[in-house]
Amino acid sequence: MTNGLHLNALTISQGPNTLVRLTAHIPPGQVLTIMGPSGSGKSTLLAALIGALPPGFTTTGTITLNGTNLSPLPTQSRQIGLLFQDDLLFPHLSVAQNLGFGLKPGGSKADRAARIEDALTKMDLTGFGPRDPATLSGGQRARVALARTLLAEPKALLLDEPFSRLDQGLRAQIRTLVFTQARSLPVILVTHDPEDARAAGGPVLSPMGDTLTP
Amino acid sequence: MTNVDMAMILGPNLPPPLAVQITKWMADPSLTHIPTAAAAALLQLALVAATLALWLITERLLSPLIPTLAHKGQRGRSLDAVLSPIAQTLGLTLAASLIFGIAGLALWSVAGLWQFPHALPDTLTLSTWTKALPDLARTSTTTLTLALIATTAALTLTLASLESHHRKGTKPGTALIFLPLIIPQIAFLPGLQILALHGGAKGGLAITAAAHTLFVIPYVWLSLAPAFTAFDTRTTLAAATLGASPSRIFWAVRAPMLLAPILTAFAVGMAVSIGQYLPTLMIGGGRVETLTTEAIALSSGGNRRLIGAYALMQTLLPALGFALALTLPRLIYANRRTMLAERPHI
Repeated sequence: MTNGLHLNALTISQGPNTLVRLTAHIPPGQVLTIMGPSGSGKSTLLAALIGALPPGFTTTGTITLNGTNLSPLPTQSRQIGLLFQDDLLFPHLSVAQNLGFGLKPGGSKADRAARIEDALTKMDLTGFGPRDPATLSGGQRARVALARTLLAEPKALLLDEPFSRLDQGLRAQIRTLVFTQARSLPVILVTHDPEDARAAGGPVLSPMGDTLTP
Repeated sequence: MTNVDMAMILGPNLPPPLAVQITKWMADPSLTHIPTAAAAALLQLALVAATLALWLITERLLSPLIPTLAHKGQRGRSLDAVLSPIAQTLGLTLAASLIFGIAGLALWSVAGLWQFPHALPDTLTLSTWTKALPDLARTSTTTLTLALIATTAALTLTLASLESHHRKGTKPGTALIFLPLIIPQIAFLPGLQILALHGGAKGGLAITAAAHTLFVIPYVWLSLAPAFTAFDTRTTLAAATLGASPSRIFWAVRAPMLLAPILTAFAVGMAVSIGQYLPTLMIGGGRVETLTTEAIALSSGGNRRLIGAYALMQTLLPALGFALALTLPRLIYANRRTMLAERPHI
C-alpha cells in the first residue's frame, strides 16, 4: 500500500481554527475530490501538498507519495504537478519553450524537441510549438498547460479548479482530456462545482474529511 | 533646497544659498572654515527636517478632509473646466522650456559668429565640437564608466535584496535605503569624504563610483520594487511545481519577465549617476572629471558654445539609456504579445 498519495491524519490549522482534517489514500488512477465553498481550506490543502504554505499555519500528520515523506522537501523536489485556475503559461516563452521548461534535463536536442512535439500531438496541438502563448485560444492554452505539467513527469497531480475559467462546452472536453491523460497518477481535484466532482468519479470529501455526495 | 549644482548656476551669488555657501567653506584651502561648514551643514539638516515635519503636519491636517469631501458626494466637475487648462498650460510650458533650453544649447554649440541683436547665428560651424572633442570624449568615457559601475552595483544589490525578501516571504525595510534621498548631500558627503580619506582612498574612480552607488540605489529601488513585488507569485509557484529551483526560477522566469522594468531601472540609475555633481567633486577629490562637473565648472565662465556642447552630451547619454530601455524589450519580445502590453499581465 505504499503506492500513491497518502494523507495520514493531516491537519492544518491557523491559530485556533482547524481548516483541514484529512486521512486518505489515493492510489494511481484514482481522483479524490475535495469540495467546499471558497474560504473552506481547499487552497490551504493544495499549498500544504506542494510545500508552499505561508507562515502562520501549523500542520500535523504526514503526506507521503509512493512511500516518500514529502514534509521536508521543497516544492521543486516533491514531483507533484499542479494545474491552476489560470493556465499560467510563461508569457516570455514560446509554446515549445514552455513545455521544455518542465522537461527533465538531459537527452539530445532532437530528442527533447521530439518529446515536446509528441506531447503537443497528444493534445491535438501539432505544429503549435513556435507560437506565442498569447495568440492561443482559452482551450488551447489549457491544453498546453496540461501538456507542460505532464511533461515534468509528476508522480501525482493536483487540480485547482482548472476548469472554472473555461466556458461550458469546453469544460467537459478539457475535463475528459485531463482525466484520461492523468489516469496513471493519483489525482486530487479541488472544486466547488458538483459537476466536476461527478465527472471525476472518485470519492468526494470536504476539507474536514466528511464524505459528500455531489 | 539642498541642491548645490543648480543653485550655483541659477541662484544668486552674493549671498549664495546655504548649500552653496557650505560647499565653498568646505573647499576653502585654508581649512579654517571647516568647523563653520560643519555647523552650517547641521543647520541645513535641521532646515530639511523642519520642512519635512511641516509637510507631514500639513498632510495630517488635510488628509481627513478628503474622505469628508468624498462622503459629501461632491463631484467637483465644475473645477475641471478651470483646472484642466491651467494644468495643460503648466505642463506645456515646462516641456517647452526644457526643449527650447536644450535646443538653445544645441544651437550655441554649433554657432559661429552670433552678433546682437540677431535672432540666429550668422554662421554655423562645428569648430566648437572638433576643438572640444578630445576633452568631451575623455569626460564622456569617465562619466559612462562611473555610471556603469555604480548602476550595475546598485541594480545587483537591489535585485538580490528583493529576491531574498521574496524567497523568505519578508517585507524589506526601506527606511535606510531612502536616507541618501532625505539627508542633504552637503550634510553628509564631507563626513563620507573624511571617512574615505581615513580609509586610504585619495579620490579615484573606484571610490567615486562607490559614492555614486549610494545615491543611485534609492532611485533604482524606487523604479524596480513596485514591478518586482507586483509579480504574480503563482507564476513562480507554477515553475516550482515543474521542478525548477529558486535560482532557475529567478534567471529563467522572473528576471526575463521583468526585463522591461529592470532595464528602465538601469536607465534611471545611469541618469542619476551621470547627473551627480557634489559626490563626484568631493569624493573624487577634484580629480574625477565628468560631463556634469565640467559643465558646471564651465557655467561660471562665459563660453556658451562650449557649455552647449557639454550640456548636450550630458542630456544625450541618459536619453540614450532610456531609448535602449524602451526599444530592447520590444526587439527581444517582438513575438510575445503579453510582454509588449502596456502593463504586462503577469
